[in-house]
Amino acid sequence: MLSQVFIVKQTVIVQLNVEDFSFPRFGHDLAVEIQRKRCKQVIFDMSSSKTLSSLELSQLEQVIENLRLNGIKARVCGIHPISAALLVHFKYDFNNIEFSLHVDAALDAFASR
Amino acid sequence: MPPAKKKPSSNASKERKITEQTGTIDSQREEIADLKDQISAAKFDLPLLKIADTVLMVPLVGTLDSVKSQKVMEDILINIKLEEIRVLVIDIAGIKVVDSSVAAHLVKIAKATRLMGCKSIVSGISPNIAQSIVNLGVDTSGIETTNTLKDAMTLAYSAIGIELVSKG
Repeated sequence: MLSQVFIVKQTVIVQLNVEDFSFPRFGHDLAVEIQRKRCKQVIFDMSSSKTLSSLELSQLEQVIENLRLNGIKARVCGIHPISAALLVHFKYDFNNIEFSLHVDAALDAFASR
Repeated sequence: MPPAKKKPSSNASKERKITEQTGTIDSQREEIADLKDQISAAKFDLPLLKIADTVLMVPLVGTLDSVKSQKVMEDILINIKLEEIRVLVIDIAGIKVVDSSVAAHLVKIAKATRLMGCKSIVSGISPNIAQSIVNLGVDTSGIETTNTLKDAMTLAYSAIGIELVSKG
């Protein structure tokens, strides 16, 4: 796995490297890793990837769905304004993903539940 | 020496040339009109009003075309990132005509702000505008809307945990 993983307040923070999507078992391996760390929530920090394609975001949606089936809640944060402006021109809605501005906001959102 | 006879094809070729040149002039006029639109969009200063620590209010007035809406979206998204905005209120009471393209632009702006973790509220939706949006069949399911700016403010403040209470 190329992405970096940290744990803060019982929450796994994944600094996502989109190249990880090329590994077919990435979602499964991540779910196993998160369960091994006894965490129930995960934040995908996209701030290191300035350009994010609709394909990459839909792959992330699949990973998030995989995690949800494993009982793990997920949020995505740190999407760059340029990526956001481009992604809206595609037909995908990403209604199944919850977004936050940055990691702190995502942690707050989890805490307020 | 007898005068040279006019070739019958010369008139036809002149006409063809004139048609071609007219076409070129028309396309250049269109280009100029596009450039004028781009210049007016570039000159267009969007008032971004920060009404609380994490609440941004954007009053839109006049017309909203694709060039202008792209600039509005970019300005808003950059501001969300820089100012850590959590709630965006777009007031469209000053928009002259809300047609399907304006509605589509608003949906796009709302979708883009959601991707950045920001909640968006569109205010200034009159009964007529609501009716026309419904008739146009634009999917606005992802957008929270209010009739008045006051209602939008109340929603925006409650989203960040502030309650507006009158003194009296």
